Amino acid sequence: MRKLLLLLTVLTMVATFTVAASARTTTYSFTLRDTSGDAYCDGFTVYLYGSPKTLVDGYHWNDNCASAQTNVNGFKGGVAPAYQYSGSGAVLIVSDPLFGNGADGGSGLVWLFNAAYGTWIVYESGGGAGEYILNYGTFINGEVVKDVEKGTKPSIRR
Amino acid sequence: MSSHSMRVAWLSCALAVPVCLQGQAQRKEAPVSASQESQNPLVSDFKSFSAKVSGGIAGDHDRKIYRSGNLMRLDFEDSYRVTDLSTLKMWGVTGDSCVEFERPDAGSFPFSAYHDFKVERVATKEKEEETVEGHVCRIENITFTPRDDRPVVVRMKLWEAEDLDGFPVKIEVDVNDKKIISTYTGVSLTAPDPKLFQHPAKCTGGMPMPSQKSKETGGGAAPKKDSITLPKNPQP
Repeated sequence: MRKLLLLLTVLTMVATFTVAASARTTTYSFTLRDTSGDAYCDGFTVYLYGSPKTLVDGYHWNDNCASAQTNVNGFKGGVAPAYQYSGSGAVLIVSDPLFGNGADGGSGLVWLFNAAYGTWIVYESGGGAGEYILNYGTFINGEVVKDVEKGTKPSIRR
Repeated sequence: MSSHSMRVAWLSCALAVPVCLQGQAQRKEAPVSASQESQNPLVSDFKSFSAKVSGGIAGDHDRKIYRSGNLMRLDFEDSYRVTDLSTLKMWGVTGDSCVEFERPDAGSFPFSAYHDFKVERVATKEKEEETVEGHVCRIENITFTPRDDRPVVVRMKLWEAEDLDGFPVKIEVDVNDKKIISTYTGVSLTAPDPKLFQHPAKCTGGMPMPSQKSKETGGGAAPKKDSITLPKNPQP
């Protein structure tokens, strides 16, 4: 009986820690870099949370190199390596209204961030013509380039 | 009705539904005779040129662009990208590194767009001309409609320069009430050097480069500039 109680206690503790660990929010914050590692002026801060932990919310900062910021959101999920830039497995799939609804209409942007490989790619809508690759590159999670040394153009300007 | 009869009836329905749906899909995609259609001039013509492109869906500014047959190259600061207009695949080359992608580069639009659409070239009024960047241009209107039931109609307007054998120095695409304008300057119709469209023999197909994979908190190419590390896990 005592052994059974001990086993139940251990199982309860494991379950509690597992739920707590999975519920903890993970932050990704980084400057976008090109394929050579040179920094653009902009980056992302997004939070991965939820249960299941696949919800993504945050913002695209300094997206115009002049302090503008755009709210973004999405999910974590699997995307075929063929559609990633040098990565495989799960990615953060983030919708960005940066090209929003101007006078001539908007255009959708979707980013894929692979934190394991430190790579990103951004697709733009072709309005029915199929998706286009706007740009791709690398990032280092947790590192933001200093203001004085950051890039001079945003990642979407290639 | 016995339970056995009910099971047989349900199974019959389950098998019949996909067959019916498949039939509907086939009817929606019934092709139109190719002989009755116009050709997309952006595919059939202008197969060799170099220019500088501005605008388009990529919002480029004076980016160097080359075309040779089905290959279209765009230059970047320290890299280039080549899109195959027939397969719509693209490879990006940075130094000795090459990565193959399943989708085209945005700078290849609209040359890489609407290949599977029906094309209707509309004759404009005689002598409808405009001058663009010093080129006297004849204006041509083209309408693209999908072969399936997608509710998209694309209207394209080409400013075809008379002194450049009709090369479109300006292209306006009107799709879903959004106007996308691309302009081409410094156009040369001389065939570009074929070497411009080559890529390293080893070009990874979107697969990870072994040396690049790293921990969840790292990854990517090494930064060339100083950086700061953010505090860990600030709450949203």
